[in-house]
Amino acid sequence: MTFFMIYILIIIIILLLFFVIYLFVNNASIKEEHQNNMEKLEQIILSLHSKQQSLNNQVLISDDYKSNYSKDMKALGDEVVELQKVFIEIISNGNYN
Amino acid sequence: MIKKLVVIAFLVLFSCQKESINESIKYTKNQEKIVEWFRVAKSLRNKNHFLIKNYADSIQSKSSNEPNDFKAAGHIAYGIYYNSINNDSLSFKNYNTAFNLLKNTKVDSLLISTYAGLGNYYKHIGDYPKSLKNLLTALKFSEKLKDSVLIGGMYANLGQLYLQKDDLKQSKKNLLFSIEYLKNNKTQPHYLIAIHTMANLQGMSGNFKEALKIDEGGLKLSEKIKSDNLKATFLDNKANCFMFSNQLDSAKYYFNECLKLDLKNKNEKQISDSYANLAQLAVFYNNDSEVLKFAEKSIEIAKNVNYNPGIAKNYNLLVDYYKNNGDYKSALEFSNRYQSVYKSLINERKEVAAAEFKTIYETEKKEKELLISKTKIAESELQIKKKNTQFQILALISLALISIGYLIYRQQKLKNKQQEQEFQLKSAIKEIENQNQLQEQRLSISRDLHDNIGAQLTFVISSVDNLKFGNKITDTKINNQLTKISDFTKATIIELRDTIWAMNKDEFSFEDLRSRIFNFIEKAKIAKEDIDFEFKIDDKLTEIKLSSLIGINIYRTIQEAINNAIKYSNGTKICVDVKKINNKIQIEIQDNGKGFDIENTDFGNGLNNMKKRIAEVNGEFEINSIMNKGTRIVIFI
Repeated sequence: MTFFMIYILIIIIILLLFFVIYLFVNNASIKEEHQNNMEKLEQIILSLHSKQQSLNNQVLISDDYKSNYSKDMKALGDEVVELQKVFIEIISNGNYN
Repeated sequence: MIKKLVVIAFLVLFSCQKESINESIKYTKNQEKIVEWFRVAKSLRNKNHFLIKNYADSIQSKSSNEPNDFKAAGHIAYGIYYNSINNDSLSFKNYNTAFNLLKNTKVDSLLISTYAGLGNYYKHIGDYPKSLKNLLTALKFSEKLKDSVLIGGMYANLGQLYLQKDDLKQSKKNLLFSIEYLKNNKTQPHYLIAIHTMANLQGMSGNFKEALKIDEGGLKLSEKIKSDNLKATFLDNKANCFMFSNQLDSAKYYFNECLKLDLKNKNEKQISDSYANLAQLAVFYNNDSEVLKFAEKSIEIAKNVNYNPGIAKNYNLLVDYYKNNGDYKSALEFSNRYQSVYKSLINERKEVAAAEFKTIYETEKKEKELLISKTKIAESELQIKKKNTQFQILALISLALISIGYLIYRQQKLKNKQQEQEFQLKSAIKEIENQNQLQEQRLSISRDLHDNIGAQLTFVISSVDNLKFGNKITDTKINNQLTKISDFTKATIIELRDTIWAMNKDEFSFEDLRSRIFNFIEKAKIAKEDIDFEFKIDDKLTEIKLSSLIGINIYRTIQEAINNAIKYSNGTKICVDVKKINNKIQIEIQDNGKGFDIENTDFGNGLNNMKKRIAEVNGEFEINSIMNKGTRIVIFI
């Protein structure tokens, strides 16, 4: 093996070692970037979850109102029917003015 | 005498060296030690060859991991040692190894030592061309260094070489050069050798007087530097001069002096030579017994140390001796012995030379093999190292790729998981939004319906009032019935208004609720003037926010309770008290009427509705009634 070949091989080894170092650094930066992305996504999920909670609450309130409303409407209907009965009773007695 | 000349030549040779391997270089501590030992080893060459060997051993052990120059220094030191004990073959072997190690060196001083050592070896074995070549190379390096001592030493060696070749003219010329170069360094051993060789040359030329004069000077100088070896050579030379100039007593004296020094130095070969010289002198004296005695002694010592030249010299002497005495039989016998020793000497030299070459060849071969195997080991180590490097690099790349793969997989998985989580949350948001939208639509329809109901109820009231007042109805029954219908319708329309009030707000404060209850009580007061109404509300509660459902349920419950009290209690006082107790809202509606028996009374729709409304907002409802004392309703939210 000539000196020139050894020289070239040593340069190759040094370049490979630099590449190994670069890969280490790159790995570390990828990990850091991923960590940041994950934190952002978790923040988004938290925010969306909070919003979802709020929307669910509003839906529950709305559903609750609907349930009460139908009961109220039924009660109102009963009252109207009661009023109609009074009207019919008056008409049938003939004492309306 | 020639043998001594050779020894002296070596001594001269090694006294010519520089004191360090390479002075221009900075050494490590180990290298400094080697250089110092090498210097000491060279300085001991005329004095103690045992110490030379010790230093050579030390240099060799310490130079194993050092450059070749330092290893060569060790071999040169061994060369000096083996030369000093007259072991030519090992001396040559070490010089040759040093020569191989120094092939690419620039350290001239070590090269000079090596070339000079090899040159003297070849001179000793009689290979004069090779000797001349090596000595001239050493001279060339010496001249390059411009060191007069080294140059003088090389000329002294060349002088000896030419003397051995019997070229007296060339020998004298070189010796004069040597003496000229060394005239300012007369205490140096090589100067002594140069003048000793010159004295030898003069003696061989018949100039005994001149030779003796030179020897006398040489003796003084050798005593001054305390070198027994050199002193012995001068004594030997002087004795020969006296012997050949027929001054036999003086010759005998100096030969004996020489023998004393040889015995002191325990140099067997030199001792053998000295006895041979004494035998030769005895011939001049015609002292037959001494001739035989010294010759036998010399032969015995020479045989002990396998010194064949010494043996041959003595046999030759005895041949002449017996021939002169007319004992031809003995002369023939010693002549045959001489021939035999001479042949073996020749063979020995050939064998030695062959062995040397074989050793050198095998050493070189082994060194080559060792070098090849070392190269192979180095190559395989290199291959292993390369493979290891490749493996390590590939392992690193694989590890990096696996890490990248795992990280990408984990990233993708994480993304999917994140997308799934985000999708789930978004779906939840969408669902909540849809539900909210639906609820809003329902509420919108409800509001329209409420508007219609309001209009219809208003119409009913108006129609009843027209009927009642427009027709002047006198009938009491009809009048009462119409009033009843009108009041009932008015109550229904009030209830409708309350409902619309609650639905128009997501939440409202306790202050809103308070004002609404207050209005209701005021109307009740107008309707029932004989009843005393009392309405109390805790100021702390005004800031509390309530949801629309809780608000409307509390309002309706209070309304119902007051209506019941007005209708059935016949009391004179109705109290409504709202306060905060332990983080709870307590609403108390109390009258002072006739009361009723709770256990025996069947509760009508009114009471049941109240209970139902409070339960719807997770509150508590309590009713207490005491006959003739009144009724008390308590609500906790």
